[in-house]
Amino acid sequence: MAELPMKVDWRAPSPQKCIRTVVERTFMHVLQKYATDESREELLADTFFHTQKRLDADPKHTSDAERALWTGLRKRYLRKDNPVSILRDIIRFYVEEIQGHFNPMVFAFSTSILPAGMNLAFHAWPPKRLFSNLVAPGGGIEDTIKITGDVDRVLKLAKTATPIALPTHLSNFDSPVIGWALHHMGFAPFCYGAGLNLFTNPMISFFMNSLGAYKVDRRKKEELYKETLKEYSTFLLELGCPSLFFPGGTRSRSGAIESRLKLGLLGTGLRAYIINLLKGQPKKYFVVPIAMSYHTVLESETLVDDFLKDTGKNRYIITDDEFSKPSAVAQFVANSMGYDSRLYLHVCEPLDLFGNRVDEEGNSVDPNGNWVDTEKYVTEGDGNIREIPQRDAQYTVELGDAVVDAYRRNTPLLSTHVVSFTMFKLLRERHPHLDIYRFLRLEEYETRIEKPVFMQALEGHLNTLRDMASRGLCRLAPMTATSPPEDLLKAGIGHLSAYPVGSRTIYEEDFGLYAKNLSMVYYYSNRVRGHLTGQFEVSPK
Amino acid sequence: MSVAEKHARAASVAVIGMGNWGTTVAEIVARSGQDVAVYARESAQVEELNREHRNSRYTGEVILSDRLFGTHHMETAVRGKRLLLLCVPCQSARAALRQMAPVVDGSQVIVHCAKGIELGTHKRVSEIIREETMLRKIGVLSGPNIAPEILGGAPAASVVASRYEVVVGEAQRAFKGDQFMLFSSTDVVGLELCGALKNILAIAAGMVSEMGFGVNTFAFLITRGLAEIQRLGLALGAERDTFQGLAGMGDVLATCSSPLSRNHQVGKRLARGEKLEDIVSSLGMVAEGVKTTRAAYELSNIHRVEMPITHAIHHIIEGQWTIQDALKNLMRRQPLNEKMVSKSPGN
Repeated sequence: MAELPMKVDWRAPSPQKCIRTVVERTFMHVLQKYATDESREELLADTFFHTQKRLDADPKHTSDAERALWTGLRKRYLRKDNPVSILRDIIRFYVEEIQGHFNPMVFAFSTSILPAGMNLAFHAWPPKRLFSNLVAPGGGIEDTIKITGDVDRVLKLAKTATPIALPTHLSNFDSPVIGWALHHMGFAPFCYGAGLNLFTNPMISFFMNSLGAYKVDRRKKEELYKETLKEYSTFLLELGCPSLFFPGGTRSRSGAIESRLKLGLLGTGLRAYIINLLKGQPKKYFVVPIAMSYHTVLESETLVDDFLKDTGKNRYIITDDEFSKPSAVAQFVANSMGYDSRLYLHVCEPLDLFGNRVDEEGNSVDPNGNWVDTEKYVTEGDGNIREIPQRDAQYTVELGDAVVDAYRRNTPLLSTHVVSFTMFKLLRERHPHLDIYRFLRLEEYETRIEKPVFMQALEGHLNTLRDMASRGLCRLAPMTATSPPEDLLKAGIGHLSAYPVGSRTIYEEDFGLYAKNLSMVYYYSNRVRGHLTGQFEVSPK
Repeated sequence: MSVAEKHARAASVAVIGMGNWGTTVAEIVARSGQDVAVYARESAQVEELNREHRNSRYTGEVILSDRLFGTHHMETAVRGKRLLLLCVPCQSARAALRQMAPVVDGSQVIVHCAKGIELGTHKRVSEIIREETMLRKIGVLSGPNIAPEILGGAPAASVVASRYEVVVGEAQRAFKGDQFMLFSSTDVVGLELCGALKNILAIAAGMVSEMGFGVNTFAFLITRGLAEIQRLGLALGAERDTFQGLAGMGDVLATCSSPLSRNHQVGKRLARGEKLEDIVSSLGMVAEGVKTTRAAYELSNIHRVEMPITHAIHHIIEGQWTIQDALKNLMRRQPLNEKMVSKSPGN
């Protein structure tokens, strides 16, 4: 395992100083943005409205202390106390909640034991014998998590520029996997916002605090919270803290590759860049998209069920899925890892904050290799550097487009994806008049596809994908890239049956293929749907 | 360095492309009181502009503003300019942008005035700008702008679309004057597609005119033609309202009504039985509609969007149908509900 070769070259103030600084900055920023009494009143009203809605909807996840705090604040608001002081107190509450317990020394110690620690965590759940197959046969964690991409180049860049890692997001396993992978590659610790729910999971919370995670409460919809969160992220980035965001915002419900990104936190990189320029302390930043794939996803059934019910908005935070059930996790790990499975993680080409490529020396270059002076992007006609929110928001949109393009080109496509897509498409063609919900309730006997028909279609899709891969339009895992269709089918069916155990999502019988669980087939097919149909955005309607 | 070169270097606005529309755009900006650097590849053209204030090849005997300063050095034209106005034909945009790439910087705003879709790639010019340069503050200007009328001083209006407010602001400032109004939009995709696709209808209008059909046929063509280009536009991400505005309906009306339109002339001459290659070579200027028709035909097949008029024009241009064949095919189609703007049945 790689030692931590890089000195942590950013100075983290003490936790208390962080809080004080971020509170003041957020406060000043909010006062500037909401400059009139009326707008501040609206901001407070918005805050209390959303808070009350949240407290009513989810009382069990709110502590008595927080409830008492909000009651007191609300009383002051109704009493028409000074709104500015109420705003400051709310901001302070937010910042204290968000603040992670990140400490580089603690991190270094934690990550030195992390691979074994991961084992230990899993072994903490009885029965131990279920975990004897934790890692790929004959190998360690390094064999289970397959990292590709120009890691050395990105590492070199990280010596002179602050990295912002942007992984795709499928599972709650992503956080520890990414954390381990970044450490294994030799990166300095990353700070990132992890959902509050992860801190309540006893298996993961140990690592959250150690891996530089600060807390993000995705239930909080109020503008004031979002401003606070962005300010916190900006502050860390200004210091030069490597940061990680899941720009999809949440786990992909449909299984598809992210097409629409949440740009709020992503934009804090640009803001930090501009602020440092204005302070006369320029810092370089670069973005590294990280595309991940699993053969099977532990939470897939809950996620796709949620997607199909179109209740995503109401169940944005899912806390009662498979990940919250230790026995489900244990079973998944034991069976998935034991199946010679791999998690595929591709480190994409680094980009600057405006979506340009970055060369090995950390210079931004345009598509024809011409050097780009990124300061010019934030320099206006009068020669002055300034923040212009609308312009900067659009720059971040462009960066988001470049990241989505990187995801589409580099997300490793696996046997489960291609086999599921083949099955789904063939069945859909046979039942074009059913809506998706009725279609997914087809009886098992109605899902038979004759083997020769299936194999012909599978071969066609493989040829298409391999041609696309040769043109740099997609990335195939080794087996998908080279295996004969029959081997790929066998592997795909095998992986799909690993979890839930005996699920027979797709199986072969009597010279035909059947689908026992069409929702699962749908979920896994969506990973490759965009490449084979041009429709990257998936909708159940 | 000549005086003209010095002025070109010092100007804050650049127009790249000294064709018919490029010259007109430069003239509008100059009439609003700004010095304009104008880039052309041909040194003879540049010299004529600087010496005689004329561009006889494209704008005839019109005397142009003395605030236009021609150069055939890209760096002189482009470097340091606040606003770049790209006025080259769509099919030449990529080459021009590659030339510009080393001398532009991220502070600059670029607005392109091309009306076309790149053959082979099906890219719009804003996408080509993104692919070939570092520029991000990108906009498009389009609308009913028959160049000779504008040069003649007639009031006119167009639309500038960009996702960046600063781009719209720069463009509106540059074109501020008593003759030309520039409205704003954020629908870059819609504006580009309107500008490109209406040329197909202009070709069809030329044919209708030459065949002696009257206003009924003209209205039929314009209305149903706009419906089908809107269908394709929506499939490619445009906004519906853009097609009802200046860059959509406005430009369709202007281009289809005006015998001055090059695409209109192409249609007339095809209807007379002339060969396409003869028409194009004798035109002296680019008629974007010919290439756009091919691109739109391909796009409509890829996205499975019904575009019967476009398909008919394509088959005529390719020599596969006569005009009579096309008419027969169109008039024998099953008429749809007029409000249907979705894709083909079964999609």
